[in-house]
Amino acid sequence: MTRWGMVIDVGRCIGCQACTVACKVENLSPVDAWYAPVVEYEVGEYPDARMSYLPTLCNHCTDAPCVTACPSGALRRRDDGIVLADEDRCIGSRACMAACPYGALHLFEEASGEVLGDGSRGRPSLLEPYTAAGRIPGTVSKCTYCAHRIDFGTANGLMPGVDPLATPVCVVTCPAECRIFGDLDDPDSRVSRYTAERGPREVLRPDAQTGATTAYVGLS
Amino acid sequence: MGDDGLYVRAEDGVRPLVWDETDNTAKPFDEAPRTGTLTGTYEVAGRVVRTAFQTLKDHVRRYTPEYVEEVTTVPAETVKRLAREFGEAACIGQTIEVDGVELPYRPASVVWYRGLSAHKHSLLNGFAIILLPTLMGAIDVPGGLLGDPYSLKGKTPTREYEAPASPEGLIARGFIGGGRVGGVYPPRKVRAPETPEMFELLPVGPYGAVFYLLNSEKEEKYNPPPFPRMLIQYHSNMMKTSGPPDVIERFLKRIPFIVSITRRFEETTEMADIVIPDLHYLERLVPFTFQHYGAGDSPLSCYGAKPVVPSPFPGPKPDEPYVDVMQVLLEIAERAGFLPDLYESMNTVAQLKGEYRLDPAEKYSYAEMVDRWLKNEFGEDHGLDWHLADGLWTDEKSVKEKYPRPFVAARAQVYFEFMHAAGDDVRRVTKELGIPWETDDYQVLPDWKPGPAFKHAAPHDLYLVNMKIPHHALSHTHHNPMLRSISARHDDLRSIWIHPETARRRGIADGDRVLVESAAGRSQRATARVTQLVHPDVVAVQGCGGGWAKGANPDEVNFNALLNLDEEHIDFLSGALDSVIAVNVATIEGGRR
Repeated sequence: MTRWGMVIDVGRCIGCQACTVACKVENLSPVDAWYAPVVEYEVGEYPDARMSYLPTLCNHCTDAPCVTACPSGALRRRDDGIVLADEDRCIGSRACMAACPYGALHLFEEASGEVLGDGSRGRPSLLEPYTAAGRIPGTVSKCTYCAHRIDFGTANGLMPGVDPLATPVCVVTCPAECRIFGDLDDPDSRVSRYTAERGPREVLRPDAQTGATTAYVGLS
Repeated sequence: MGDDGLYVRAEDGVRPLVWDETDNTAKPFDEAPRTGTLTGTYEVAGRVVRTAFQTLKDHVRRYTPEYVEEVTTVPAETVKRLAREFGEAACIGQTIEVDGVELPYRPASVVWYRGLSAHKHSLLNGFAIILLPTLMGAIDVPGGLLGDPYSLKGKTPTREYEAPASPEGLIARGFIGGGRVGGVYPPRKVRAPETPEMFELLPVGPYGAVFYLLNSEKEEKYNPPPFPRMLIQYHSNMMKTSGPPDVIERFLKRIPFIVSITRRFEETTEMADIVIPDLHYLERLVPFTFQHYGAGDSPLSCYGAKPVVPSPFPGPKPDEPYVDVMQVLLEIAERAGFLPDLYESMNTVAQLKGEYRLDPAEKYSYAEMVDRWLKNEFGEDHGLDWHLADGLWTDEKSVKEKYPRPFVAARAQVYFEFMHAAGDDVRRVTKELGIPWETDDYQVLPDWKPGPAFKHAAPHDLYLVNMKIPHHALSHTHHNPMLRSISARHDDLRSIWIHPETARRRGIADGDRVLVESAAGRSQRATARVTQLVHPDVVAVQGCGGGWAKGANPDEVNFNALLNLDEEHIDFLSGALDSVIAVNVATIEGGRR
């Protein structure tokens, strides 16, 4: 059985946000919604201080609280472990947003009126391209692990995590190669081998016990 | 070298002598073993002489780790550790095999940009830094500083590498020679300036644009040649990039007619008499926007821009869309009557050969010129059609092309003797011109000298520096909406970074709106980010944001608006403008969040 997952080597991230931007372009995520933001934080005191970075995205949990909380069945977990939001079925209750311990779900609100929320004044809104792309105002969207790329790859004999066209765009774009993707159930996949060699495998908010498939090395 | 600091030369007056220990004689460098003597004092023709390396060794002895600590506050023990680690990392004596060829292995490198270069005494800074990889033998070898030693004379299917040596046997292109460091060796002949840039007075400098501004401010003092009567400005926003806006405004107001070719109304555009719309790079046709012909193990490569989005503007000829600013310039050249001269310039600059040369008696469209240029570079089957359909040229490198330095017969310099003559040349010409000119830095070996901001009197006793953050490429990307949005999340374009103890002493809390004021009275407003990431004496700002043109966000910090434009802050050798600014930072009344 295939179970897609990602491991992020925190020590390799240089904070360039290329993943953040690539995700935005690939998925045309709504205004102010960043599916793969990189969190900055400072460590230590001068002169031994440094900036550290934590790439984040949906954890595609095995026991996904968002799926359980959704009253309309808009959120579902596929057999390969990917958690998807169906905007056609979403009623905008925000129950998933309250349930997710990772802040990984985003409501597409129509009210922003700013270009990507950058505070620009007097510029045209980019809302129209989002709606043209099928985004429905008032619904929730989220990281899909670039399921469209994975599905394209598996349908065309490509290997997600190995072949770029079949791999989440944040993984492909990272210049520091800090994101590794693959089949968690395959001990020979790159993601499994990386974790075995560089582990231990850690997750954010382990107390939430959600069975996150997005994991980290070098977190602590 | 003799007591005068000059090389002791052969009878031809050109070739420096080296000491040959095998028979205890001084010989021209090309007649002695390459393993000449590095150190020592000797007698040659009745003169006491020393090796250049001995002079360097004696010279740097004064720069002890303790002295460095006093200047920089970096502990002496840390300085020693860094020096030891750099030396150990260089793996002196080790080799590595690349493509079957054994090469020196020197995995230790230094690189520098504005942080080192944009200062008073910047050329001396550059000399000091380049000495590190030079002494380690770590330039253009595996693991070392990989440069572009051949400048633009790289290899394409129609060109071959060149590695010229000067008559003195020294590397005359690449690091220390021309290229990256700005063409310091051999120095150019000094002569009376023809423009207010006075570049002719900078025999080892890479550019002199700052002297346009200094001369604009102090015309009587420097008596420059006449200022231009017309300016065509494109792909730049000099009101924000070239110095303090008030100085640049006064300079631009001297120019009666300004044409701005621009994609958006920027600060400089607002000074223009005529504005011509420019294109987005996805609409443009420009060959050779990227060329990698230099050292390193990545393949030789070249590509250009091509219109992937149709240009919205008609071109100057029927059925020819407007795809590049060159079309505008060609039209101007034709109307002004110097189109044949422009063709000849193109022949020279692009090194067009044979059938691809432009005939001054003919007339060519921009597309035809691009087609010839490409074919000249890559061959008959790589013209405009190839560029539009493909356009990426690559080729594998030989070992010599990847790591050229071991194959170059010319020698590297650790003693910059040429600075002696260059300085004399400048002193002679500026005396003839009757203008004051700083020449103290024409030294054969570098020294540390304090910049104008060093230990400035209170309250302007903080050093404001410009920094980079990972998700912006200087200020080039500030207009990218996605990156702006990320910046908004981190508030990085409005912020200055200040150390907690410094902030506490000045009554500043994280998030306060503050006024950053230079000793010269220029100021910017900013948001304080109190952070452990900066030195207690330093405040740092990212890029050069803000501005006042339509669409600009005046809440962002415009670093360049705080620069000083005067002799104290200009390096008269390199043309650099000092970019460490002595400032005071104070909370704006009512600025507490």
